Amino acid sequence: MTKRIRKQIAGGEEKGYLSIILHAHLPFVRHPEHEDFLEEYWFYEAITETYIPLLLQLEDLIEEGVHLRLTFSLTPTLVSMLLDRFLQSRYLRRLERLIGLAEKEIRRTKSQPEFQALAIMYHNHFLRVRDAFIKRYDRDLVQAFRRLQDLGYIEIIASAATHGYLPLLSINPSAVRTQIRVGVGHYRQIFGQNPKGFWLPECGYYPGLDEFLREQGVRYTILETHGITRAVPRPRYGVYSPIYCPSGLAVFGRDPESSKQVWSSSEGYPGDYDYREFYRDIAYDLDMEYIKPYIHRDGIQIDTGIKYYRITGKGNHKEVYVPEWAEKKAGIHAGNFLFNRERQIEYLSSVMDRKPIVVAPYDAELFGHWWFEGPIWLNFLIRKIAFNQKTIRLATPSEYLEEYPVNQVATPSMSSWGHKGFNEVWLNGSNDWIYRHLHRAADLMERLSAGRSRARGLTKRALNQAARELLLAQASDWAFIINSKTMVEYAVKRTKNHLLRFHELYRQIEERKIDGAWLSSLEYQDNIFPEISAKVFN
Amino acid sequence: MARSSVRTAASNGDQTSPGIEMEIRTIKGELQAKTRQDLIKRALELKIPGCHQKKKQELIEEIAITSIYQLLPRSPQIIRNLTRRDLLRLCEMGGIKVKRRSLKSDLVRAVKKTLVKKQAAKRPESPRPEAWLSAPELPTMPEHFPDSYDVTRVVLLPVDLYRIHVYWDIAKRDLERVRNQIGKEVERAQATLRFYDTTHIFFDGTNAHSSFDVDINLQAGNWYVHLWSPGRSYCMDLGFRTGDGRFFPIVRSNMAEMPPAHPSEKGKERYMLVSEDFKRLEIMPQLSAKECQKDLTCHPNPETISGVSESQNPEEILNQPVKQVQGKVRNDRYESFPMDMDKVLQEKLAELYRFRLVESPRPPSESGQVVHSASEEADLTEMNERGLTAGISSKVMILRKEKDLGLRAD
Repeated sequence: MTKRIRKQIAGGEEKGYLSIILHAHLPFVRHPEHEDFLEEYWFYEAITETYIPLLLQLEDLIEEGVHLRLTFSLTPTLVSMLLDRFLQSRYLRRLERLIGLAEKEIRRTKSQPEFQALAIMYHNHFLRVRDAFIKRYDRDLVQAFRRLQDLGYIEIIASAATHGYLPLLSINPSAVRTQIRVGVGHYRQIFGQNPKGFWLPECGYYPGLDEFLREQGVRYTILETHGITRAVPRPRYGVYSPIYCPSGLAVFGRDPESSKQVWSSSEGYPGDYDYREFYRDIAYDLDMEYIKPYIHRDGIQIDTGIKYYRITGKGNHKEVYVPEWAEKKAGIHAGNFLFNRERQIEYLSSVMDRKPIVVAPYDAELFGHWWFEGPIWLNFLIRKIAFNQKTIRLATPSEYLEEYPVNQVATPSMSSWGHKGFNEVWLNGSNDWIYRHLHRAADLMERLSAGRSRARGLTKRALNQAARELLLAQASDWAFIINSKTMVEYAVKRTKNHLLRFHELYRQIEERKIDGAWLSSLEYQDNIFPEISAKVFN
Repeated sequence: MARSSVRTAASNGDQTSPGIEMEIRTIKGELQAKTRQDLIKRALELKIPGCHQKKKQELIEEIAITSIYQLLPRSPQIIRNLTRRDLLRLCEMGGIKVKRRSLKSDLVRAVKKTLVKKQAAKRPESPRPEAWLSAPELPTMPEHFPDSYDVTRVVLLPVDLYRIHVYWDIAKRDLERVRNQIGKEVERAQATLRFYDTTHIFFDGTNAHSSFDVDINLQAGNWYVHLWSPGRSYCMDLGFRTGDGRFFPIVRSNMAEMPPAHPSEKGKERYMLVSEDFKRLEIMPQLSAKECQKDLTCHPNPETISGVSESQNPEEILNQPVKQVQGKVRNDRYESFPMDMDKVLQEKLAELYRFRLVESPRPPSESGQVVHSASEEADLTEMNERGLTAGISSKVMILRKEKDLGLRAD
């Protein structure tokens, strides 16, 4: 943190703090063996619609000297994909196609000025994204985020290796420890420093988990509201101040008010009628022959990102999108959000003997992807906070801990930010079959790595690959997707393949008959964490 | 890994359509990142002759072109991205006689005609080439998971406040053993999950608060059990219960702690100072935070409590030998009801330090401002509980999508 920023925080006039935390995650999806793989599109969309737009907005603010403090969680799987050259070139290929499509659209909508204006807008947007990706960021978005952290504007926190849902992996402490250890190790390698905070996948917490985080030197994490409110003993300040687990790990709780305003489909901003309608992409609206080359090769419709309609109302009737109106609304909503936070913090500071902190974590994807105007809203909000008031200041959780190193001790309760607040999303009739296999594989991995610490050559490579396969199988994304009934087949396949590969590697290692060629092909395909050592499971 | 990716009705499910994209540039790019040793290893696996003598660039060229050669039958469209030199090399590998000065289009035609067809013809007999760039399935790899690993275990996993998930696996020999133990009653024995309420105790098999049975079908392999109170801890035995009430346990589960449904009672508040390097110093109420910050020579043991009375300063206290407070419950008094750690500690401390403990302490205040106690006027925890909106993010997006796609009513 630079001195310049530090001076502004301590002893300021503010009555309280707002900590916005953006959690950016994608499961590791990389399929060089397929020319055009459906699930890789999640990655391309996220870059075009969320990560680059966010970076551009933040850099705009920085250039103008606006005070800015945000927290980002960038998971290891996402970081690995962003740094992968193969995926980077695939992304560019996709972007080129979109630019071509936008050009076609400009021509097609010649006689419809409202639509053509939008087509031009998208064309410019794609061009700007391409320009930023190639020239400004040199294809390395991780470096872009790192730079913002090094300059003191954002704080990046670590997360679990493959986003494993830790409460359900807790049967094997080695599995939990490894998810955290590899995640923190990866962070150190990429960002060159120790992470102060850690994002628990899905905010999944169970009592005792804090010990593992402490072990790795993590100072704080964030839980869902009831993880704090139901802590034992009862927290004095609710979620407006962190608590310490007996182990010394600080835990911050999500503020329900600020979440509801943004996320709620009934009360929240993204549902406003002037905002862009997510579900009217031209991939679905236009003639198949015309659109086919721009969506998946087999004609499976995936979003292009070009959407011409606004939400308009609750029914199916949609009117054309008007960017000026949407931007105006974003400004109004930013003002409204700020107003609510000001009232909230004024009230809280009157009943607390310290400055309250309002913790507002969101999925990064919300901004730009689900809610097209999200990044603009964020920009307006940050500006208004900086210039229009003096009650609130943006801060990161670690800054709060520096100012308030004394906090109440309590043991948080088991919780998650998944639907209904516990483990149901990842453990129900659709996906419960996974866990016996994950637990069994973790047992076997412990067995494999014990007593083989001096392994060399092919055996060492096989052990390391077994570790990778296990970590990839543990990703909470698969259980989540199966539960959501969207790309179920893919998620089931991923789980099974990684586990089957793991078992095969186990067998080969135990029988000392390792198939080098097959191992090499696995190393190429499932190439996450190249530096991993199976010893980490001990 | 199987070749088919996700398919919907829109796909025509063409089995022969190649699904592999291998741009030779990308392959070469990947290979550049490898060391020469790695490349030699791969070249050996691909049976490329003379690899030890080759330079790194030559190895890259050879490996790339060999992979392309092997992938041709499945993705003939790779050809269009190849250079003339690559095409010549391919012809050489495939034994096609071409003039070195042929036009590129002629080379392409020759390759297509001979190699693609030739390779395609070979396909039924030989297994797919083990090109290391793709991940072929081993012929012996099973398609499905085993239903049982033939290892006996039973696992408890909390689902939410009132439900717990149980899965089990029983090795054949263990099942046999128990059945023999039961003897002639075995046909009428009921498989059951015997739950023990082990909240706040060290369970030794006999001292549970209460227990209850959940009868199950052993073949099911897993079960969801509904509980009637949240916030309890459980341990469980999987076993058989005979008609006369005898219980034959097979295996014991892990301990599962269920989450509470409500905030806990307003209790004694404890405060702690944690420094950057994780040194922890617990604060007793009279001490202000500023005093503690001055000298962080605190005892590393987390159980150590330190405090101060009016006459002593923190440093002196910390340097005194401190008796550790043991957490084990061996005392008769605590045997059958939950132990109250706070009470135990209070008593120990009173002995050690002889200072007064205030019943409802004010939290240490740095600025020294006078503030009305939060607990009297505003219960922030209660306020947050009322506004609870867990899972709002994931729920919202999925429900909206399903509603719009007509998959569910509102």
